[in-house]
Amino acid sequence: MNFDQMLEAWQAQTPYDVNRDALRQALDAEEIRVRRALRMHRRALWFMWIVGTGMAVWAGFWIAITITNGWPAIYAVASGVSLVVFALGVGAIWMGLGRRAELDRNFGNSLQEEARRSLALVDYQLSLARRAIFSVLGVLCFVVGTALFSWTVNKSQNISDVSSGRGWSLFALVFVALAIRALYKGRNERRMRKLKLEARQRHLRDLLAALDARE
Amino acid sequence: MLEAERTRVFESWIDAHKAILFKVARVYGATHSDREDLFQEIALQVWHSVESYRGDCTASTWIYRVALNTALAWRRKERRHSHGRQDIDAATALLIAPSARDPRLEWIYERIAELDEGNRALALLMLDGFSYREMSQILGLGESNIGMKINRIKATLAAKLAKEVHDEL
Repeated sequence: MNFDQMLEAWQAQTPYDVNRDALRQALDAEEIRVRRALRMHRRALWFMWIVGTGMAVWAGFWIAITITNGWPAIYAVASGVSLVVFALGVGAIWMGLGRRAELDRNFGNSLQEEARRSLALVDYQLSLARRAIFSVLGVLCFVVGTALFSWTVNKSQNISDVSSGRGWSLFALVFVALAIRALYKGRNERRMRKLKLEARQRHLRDLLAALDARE
Repeated sequence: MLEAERTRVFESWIDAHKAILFKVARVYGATHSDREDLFQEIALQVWHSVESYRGDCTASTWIYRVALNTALAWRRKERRHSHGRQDIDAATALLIAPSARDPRLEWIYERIAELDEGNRALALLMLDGFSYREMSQILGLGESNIGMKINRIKATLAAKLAKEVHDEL
C-alpha cells in the first residue's frame, strides 16, 4: 500500500452506524443527570444561604439582646465571633461559585484554547488542594462559631444541662475526635487527588508544548 | 432554541457527521469499550453544543472541535464514565459495525493512534481533506506550523508504509 492507496482506503471507508435507541436512552439519561445536578446545586446553594444568613441574623439578634439586657460582654463577643464566621462562610461559597463560572467550558474553543483552559482548571484545582487546610480550618471555625453561639444562648438562658462542665467536656472530646478524623481523611484524599492532578498537568503541558513546537 | 429544533439539528448532524465521532473515538480510545464510551461522550457534548453553534464555521469543523476537545477532557475522566447507560443491556452497543470493512483501515487507524495526541488530530483532519485554514480554526495553530507538522506526519506514515512493504517482502 502506498500513500495514495492509503488515502483512497480512508476516503472509501463505510462509517459505523449508530444504534438510535441506545443514543436516545443516553441522551435522556444525560438530561435527567443535568437537571438533577442543577437541582441539587440550587438546593445546596439555598440551604447554605438560608443556614448562613439565618445564623448570622440570629447571632446579630443575640448581640442586641445582650446589650439591651446588660448581660456580660463575653456573650456579645461570642455572638459577634459567630456572626463573622457565618458571614465568612457565605462569602466563601459565593467566591467559589464565581470562580467555577469563570472556568466554564466554551464549545467554540480550539484544541489549543481548550488545552490551556484545562491546564488553568488543573492549576486552580491544585491551588485549591494546596489551600485545602484553610477549608478544614473554615469548617472548624463553623463548629467553633456554633459552639460559642450555643454556649452564649445556654448561659444567658441558664440551661444548666448543656452548659454544665460535664456537657462541655463531652462536647470537646467529640469535637476533637471528629476534627482529627477529618484532618487525617482529608490529608489522604488530598494526596491522592494531587498525584492525579499533577499527572494531568504534565500531560496538558506536554500537549501544549507539542502543539506549539515547530518541527 | 426550542427542544424540537435542537433535536432536529442534533439528529441531522449525527446522520451527516457520525463518521467524525467514530474516527475521533477510534484513535483516542484504546479498547472497544473505551471507544463506545468516548463516542457516547462526544455525542452528548455535541448535543449540548447545538445551542452554542452560531454558524460562523461549517458543521463539520464545529463537530471536529467538540469531538477533539471532548477526547482531551475524556482522558482526564476515563474510567469514571458509565454515563447512565449502566442500566442498558451490555449487548445494546451504541456502534454498529458495517458488514464489510477494508483491512487496510485498521492498519491506518493503528498508525495514527501511535502518534502523539496533537498529531493524531492533525492526521485525522489531513486524511479527511480539511484545508490548513480549517485545521487552524479547529486546533488554534498557525497555518505555517500546521504545514510543517503535516509534512512531518506524512513522512512518518510514509516511512511506516515503506517498512511494512519491506517486511512483507
